[in-house]
Amino acid sequence: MAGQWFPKVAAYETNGVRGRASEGWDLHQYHGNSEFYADFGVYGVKIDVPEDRIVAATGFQYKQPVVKDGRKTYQFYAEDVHDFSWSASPDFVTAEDSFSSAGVPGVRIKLYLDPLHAKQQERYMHAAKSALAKLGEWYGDYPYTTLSVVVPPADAEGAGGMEYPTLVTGAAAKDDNPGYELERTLVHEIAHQYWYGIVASNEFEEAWLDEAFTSYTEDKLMAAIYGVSARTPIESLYMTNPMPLKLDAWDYGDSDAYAENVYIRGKLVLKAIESQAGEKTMSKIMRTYFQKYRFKHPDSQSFQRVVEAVTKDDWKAFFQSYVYRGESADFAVASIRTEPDGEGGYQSIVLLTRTQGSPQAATVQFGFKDGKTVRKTWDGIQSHIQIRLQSASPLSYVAVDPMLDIVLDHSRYDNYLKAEAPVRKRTKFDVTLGQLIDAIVGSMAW
Amino acid sequence: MNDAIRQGWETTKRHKYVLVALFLYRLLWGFFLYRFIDAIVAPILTRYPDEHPIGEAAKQLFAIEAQFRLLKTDLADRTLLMLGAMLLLRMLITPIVNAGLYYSFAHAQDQGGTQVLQGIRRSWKKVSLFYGAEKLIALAPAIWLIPFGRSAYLEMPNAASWIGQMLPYAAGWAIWMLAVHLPFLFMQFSAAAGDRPWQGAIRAIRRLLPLLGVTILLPLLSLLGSAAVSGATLIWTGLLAIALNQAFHFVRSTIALWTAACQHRLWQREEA
Repeated sequence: MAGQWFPKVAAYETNGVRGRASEGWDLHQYHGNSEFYADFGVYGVKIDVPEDRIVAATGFQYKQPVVKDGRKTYQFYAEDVHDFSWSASPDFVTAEDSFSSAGVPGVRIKLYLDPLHAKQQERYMHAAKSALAKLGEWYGDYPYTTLSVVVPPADAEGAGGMEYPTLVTGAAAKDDNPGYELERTLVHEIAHQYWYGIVASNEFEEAWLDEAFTSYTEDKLMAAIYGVSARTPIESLYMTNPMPLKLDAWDYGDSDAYAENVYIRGKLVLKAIESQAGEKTMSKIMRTYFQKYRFKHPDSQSFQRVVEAVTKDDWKAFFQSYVYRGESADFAVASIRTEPDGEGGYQSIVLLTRTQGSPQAATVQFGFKDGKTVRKTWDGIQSHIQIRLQSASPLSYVAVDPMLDIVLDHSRYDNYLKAEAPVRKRTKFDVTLGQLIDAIVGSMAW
Repeated sequence: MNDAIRQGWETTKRHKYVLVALFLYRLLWGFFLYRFIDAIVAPILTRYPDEHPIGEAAKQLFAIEAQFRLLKTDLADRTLLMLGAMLLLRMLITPIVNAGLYYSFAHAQDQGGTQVLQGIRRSWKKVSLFYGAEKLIALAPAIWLIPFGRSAYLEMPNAASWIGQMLPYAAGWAIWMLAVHLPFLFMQFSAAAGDRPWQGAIRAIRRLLPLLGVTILLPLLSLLGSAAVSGATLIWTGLLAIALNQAFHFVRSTIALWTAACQHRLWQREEA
């Protein structure tokens, strides 16, 4: 696989691009954590390889390959792309098919598979066609005439799961009949064609505009094509280190923090917008953003403007909290006090808090000892609220956001609180743990 | 072995004031340990979503969140540090107690009272050296085992198969600790009595079988009692269970002292 193989010119930004006050170069050195940002251009490339090599590349072949003295020269041409990559192997098992649908005017899909996956041709072809069809339908036209899929062998894993203009690599072929990860990787890389390839934002400085959008689209594609649903609540809990999304890629510190925030948390931010605006409005937001900014290198603010224009609402606090500051919604039940009111009933005082995040309404469920439950809605505008309740029976527990509607609440344990710890269990754990620690310490010391 | 156990019991009785002091010392520790554990257990139980409207799923998410926070954040660091510091402090005090006790054991036939304080004054340095060396050697495999266990945990599909994989290593480590403990214990006896420590190590090997017998059997009693106390909390709750828990320190202290006295009898026997 030859990616990042030629000296690349930095992107030149004209006045107004990504909020620039004056034109100039967007200069960055190479960073291991970071991906792409370049200007669109026209590429004509001659590739001279040993005769037995089969070559896959960005764009299309505009001449038959020339064979001479045991060498073969391929000639490729691509326009409106911001990078060019290619791959060569004597072992590729190839297949080709044409495809068109609403939003996909006519594309040659070309597969270059590792022989181990020769029998998976149908799966790759089906995933590629379905993904293109959905992307064309949801966001807009696929503007190229080819899409090449390269599946590297097991020992070239490093080249797997990567996006280049009109050329993507699937996960390396390790297993002759893999599970849904085959489709998941492929539709993810094809979704990149829209966000990385066509919209083309600056991945040095705000990588989420590609990775998070692509991961969001990947989940949508997996659900629409294969009925595989996302595990959003678990992913949300995985965010133990939320950081800003508009941040230079190398400032995340390590690659885990980068990947968690830029891929997963960014995707969750989009899901949170979807859950607040509604699924229909969200598709309109995504389509409008794509249509308005294709080939334009937008920034986070461009996206915020689209969200505000489509929903006709103010999203400043939301973007400030979750995109620019990297906060968690962090709703919590801080305390419960429940006691007899002197008239045969009980009075309870419950303190709810929202220590981070933007104002957002939350459902609160109150459970009583007699099994009755009451649901209320807290508007979540202030950072805390004290609620007083009169009831026939003592309050047993309080749960804020019990149905897990608030996508960006990364600490859920504090959303639930009982009026008191169950006495029997508490003694049992205290005594058992005490005995255990005593036994261990006692085996080594007086 | 029976002889040693019987004579050990006599020695234990002779040191009844030491036993009382030991009990009070452990009771004090037990009190703080109980408060420390309860400060962790109570908040977890009040947050544990067992009555949550979405049922089982809430409990699963609670477990998942706990795992993420334990593995990915510094959540447990302070607690582990506190436990480690507590263990360290007790380990610093231990060889001093050992010095006094083992010296007094060695002079158990003498007239007059126990001679714990003289023992501490005379031999705490030497005994500390052997005790410290033993613990260093016994705990050394942790440097390799803890990172190994951690990475194995991350690779295993569930906790049960991880425990299955770790069990042989844990057993191996326990045997290693025991194998290091016995000769070093006898070296401490020799050091406290003013003998040459090497002799002690040789004696430990010569009397390995009865020594293993008392070293395993008596603490096993203690462990069974411990399990019984934990079990009792299923029936009793509140103050009664807590009182039983604290009172058990007396049993544990008695058995610990008795074990040490028996081991010392085995060390002594050749001279008698």
